[in-house]
Amino acid sequence: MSKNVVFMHAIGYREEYRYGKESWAKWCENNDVEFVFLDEEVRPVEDMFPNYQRYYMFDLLDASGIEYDRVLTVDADTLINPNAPNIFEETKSDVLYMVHDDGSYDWILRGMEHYRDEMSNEFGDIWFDFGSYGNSGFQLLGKEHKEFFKSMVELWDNYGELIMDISNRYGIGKEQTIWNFMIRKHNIKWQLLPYEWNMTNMMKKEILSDNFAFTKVGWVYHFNGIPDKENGSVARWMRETETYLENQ
Amino acid sequence: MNAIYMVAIDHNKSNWKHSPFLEYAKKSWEYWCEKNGVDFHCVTKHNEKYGYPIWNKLDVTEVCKDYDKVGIVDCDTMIKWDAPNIFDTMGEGIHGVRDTSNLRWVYDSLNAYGSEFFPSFQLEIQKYINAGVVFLDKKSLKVYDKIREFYFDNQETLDNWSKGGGREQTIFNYIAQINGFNIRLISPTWNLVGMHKTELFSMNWQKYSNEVPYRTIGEFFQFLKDNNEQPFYTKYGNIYHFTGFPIEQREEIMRQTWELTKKYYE
Repeated sequence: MSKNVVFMHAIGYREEYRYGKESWAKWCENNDVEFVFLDEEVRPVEDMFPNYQRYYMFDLLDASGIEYDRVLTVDADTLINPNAPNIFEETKSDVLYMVHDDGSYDWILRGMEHYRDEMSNEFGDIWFDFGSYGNSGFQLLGKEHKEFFKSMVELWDNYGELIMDISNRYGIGKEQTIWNFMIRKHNIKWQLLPYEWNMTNMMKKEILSDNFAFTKVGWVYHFNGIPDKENGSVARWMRETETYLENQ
Repeated sequence: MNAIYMVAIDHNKSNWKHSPFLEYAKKSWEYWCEKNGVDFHCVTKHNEKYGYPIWNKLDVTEVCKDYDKVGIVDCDTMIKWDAPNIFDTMGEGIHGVRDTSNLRWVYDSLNAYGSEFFPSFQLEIQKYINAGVVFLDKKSLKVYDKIREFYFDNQETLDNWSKGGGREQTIFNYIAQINGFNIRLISPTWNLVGMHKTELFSMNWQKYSNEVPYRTIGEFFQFLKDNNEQPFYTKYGNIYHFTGFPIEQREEIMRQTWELTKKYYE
């Protein structure tokens, strides 16, 4: 019998991924959703940027014999509140749902301009309202989006080297902005969910604090944009948040 | 017929005068209104019945009672010269931009006003909008009648409010939701709040250099001027809201923005 699936990819071990995995696995269990965790490379990371490998998701699910209706793919540096409602029940299958990202419009708009200019063969004159730019760390999809994910992989096969080069030259990321362009190029029906479903850049929004107020205002906590990541700041926030949520 | 309503009152209860930066806000809005056949009302005289100048907003229902649609905008906003006429595309309801620039402030403000006045109402934070730029149809404009009623019922408490959380924005949101007004979220480009936090004081400097070629806001504007460039907020935004950064910088940033863009308003 097919189920809804949460797919988390965590290629390359980091301590914080453990907390993301535990949190989502628990929520899935409570909501009769299958949890799939990918921590192995599909392709060598030298050949394909780790985050980009999420676009093999449908292939991996099919190859594993997992039957599914809808899929939510999430970054491994996210936690979900155990009381979060079942988002699959509130949304439609043929729409790609995402959450707007306003963490750094400087990074976003430079990225949009550079990719538009340097990949004009692929994106033509596509341009879109930056107020609708989505964060790819939370994508709610249906089976209908299998072809779209295939086109993302094809794009890398054709332009992977160029994407790496553009990204390295300008420091503008290798996946999220491209994914935004591709959504528009392929006329994918999309809709923005409220910030509460992918709370990025919580520090900038001044909600990330020791009293865990952020757990009162939303459901999915995305621990990005936090300084000192290399010294364990993200892992610490995720560990403490998980403990806090468990004790509620 | 549609209208824009702005309150810009210099008052002894405010530490900062509005008039120095109002000049730039007004020029942009006057141009846009004329171009789009919209009436522009700017209130500069305080109505003594209100404790603080911000509450003069509530007179919008009287001043703008004969219009089909009304925009209520703060005097620290500027509109892009060729921003589309939002009145042409909006329908029924209160149209505004979700305010997440300082969620901690929003959360605390909701708790402060909620516990004092609305203890049994659970506000939907996902529809909490910034009250500094809102567009309403005639029916929804009545929300300001409701707020006025609330204000005069609680004037003493509100005029002496010291629990933080701002003055009118959170009350606006509570009253709108409690009374079942239809709140419709529009693109953040229609009210770019917290531009320093979202890093909109920027441009594609990589066309010129491998390193950011400016360090201060003054150098940033000089660089734009020297290279005939626009910052991201005027290039891609519709309404720029100069708030969230130290207020003493506001006049200078609005002046620089006007200097850069005034040629488009002629």
